[in-house]
Amino acid sequence: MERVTEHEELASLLGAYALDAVEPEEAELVERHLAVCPRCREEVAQHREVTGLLGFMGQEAPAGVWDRITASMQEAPPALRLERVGSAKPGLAPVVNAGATASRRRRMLAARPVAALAAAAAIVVAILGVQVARLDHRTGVLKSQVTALAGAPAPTSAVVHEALAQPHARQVALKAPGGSTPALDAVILPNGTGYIYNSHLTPLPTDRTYQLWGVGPAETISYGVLGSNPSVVAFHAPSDVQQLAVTSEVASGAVHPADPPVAVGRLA
Amino acid sequence: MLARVRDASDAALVVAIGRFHEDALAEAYRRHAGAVCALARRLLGDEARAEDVAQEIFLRLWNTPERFDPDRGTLRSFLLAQAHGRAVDVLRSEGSRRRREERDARETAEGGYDIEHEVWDLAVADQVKQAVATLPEEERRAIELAYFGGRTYREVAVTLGTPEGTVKSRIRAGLKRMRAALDDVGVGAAWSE
Repeated sequence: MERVTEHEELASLLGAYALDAVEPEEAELVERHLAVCPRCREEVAQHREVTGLLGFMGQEAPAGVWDRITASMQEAPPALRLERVGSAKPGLAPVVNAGATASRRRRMLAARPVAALAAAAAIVVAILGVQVARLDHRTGVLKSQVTALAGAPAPTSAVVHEALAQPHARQVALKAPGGSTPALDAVILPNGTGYIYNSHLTPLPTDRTYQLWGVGPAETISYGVLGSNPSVVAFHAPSDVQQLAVTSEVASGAVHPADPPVAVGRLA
Repeated sequence: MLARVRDASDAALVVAIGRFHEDALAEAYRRHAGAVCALARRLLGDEARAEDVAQEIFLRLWNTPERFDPDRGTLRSFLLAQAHGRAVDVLRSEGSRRRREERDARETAEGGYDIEHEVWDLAVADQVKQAVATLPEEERRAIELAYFGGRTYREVAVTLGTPEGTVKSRIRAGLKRMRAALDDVGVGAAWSE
């Protein structure tokens, strides 16, 4: 009885959901339900087909954008693939001629050393984030890790876009206390990988840094320093994180946050 | 692999994209980027931001082609759904209150939310226009404000002065009605695989 009502309540959102016309919390509710309800999945797919027909057929593909796409393909590392959404049809995944594709990938990676480096760097940054959290009693170690972080190229925005596309990605807008617009955004994937991006934080003098903290049920831990003028930074968050906060600290980072945060966001 | 990309089905293109065939992505782009840009432009109001959305969507297709499931729908509707979602994110993100105000101003200048002719005219296929014509006014308007205006159903409720539950059900009913109308004229054939 109650289950039918709950289902009906969720189903009432399906039309709006298919139009991207729901609140983030509602979207998350619907997505969790869609993972277990084929009937509703089918309904959403049909709604999307209808809206797909409403678009705008017959326009010319714009010229300059293709060049930007191919240029970005040089940067985006194919080796770094985040958690995949399983395709409903296993047969769709191409049966790879391992030799040919591998050699094509090797050729591509050889031609774009930056891509491999960026992939490795993104992983390094993520691991460093974990290390800072674990070693937060040892500021000496923190300092050397900050130096290493400073040398590592930032994750590409393509990686962040990909994270945002994951259905169970959790998005957080961090706002200044009393502020209405976000100072920066964060996205956290189910595997704990996170990125801050869209930062509007005021750049700090070079002897200071922003630092990211995660507030859990039992404790607050550091997720790493972000630098004095962060753009996109990777971090790692445990699954029970409830809030994210950013503080301003001296350049080596802090073991505990000194001042009230400059931006805070609660996970939905 | 692909004898001629121009002759390949969308599904075959995506398989080829999964094998790093750049010419397959180029063909997918040639087929669908125009529609992607036009929808993004409709929501965001300017060409540059629309092109940014198109770039992201096609890069996503390049990086994770496995997300497209041909059993779930066409590549066109998949890309448009991605583009719509991304454009809505941009519209609702920080700093875009100005864009929403521009959108509201644009819609007002175009004669209030009575922009039926402009918006729906862009659905080129006659059958689609016929399907839209079967909608009761309030269903059409709710869908239009939500989909083309990038609003949440709550914002639509405020705009229309209608209860939220009513807006939700009108959107859902309108979409179902259009689907039935399109089935009637045979446009829905693609769904019945």
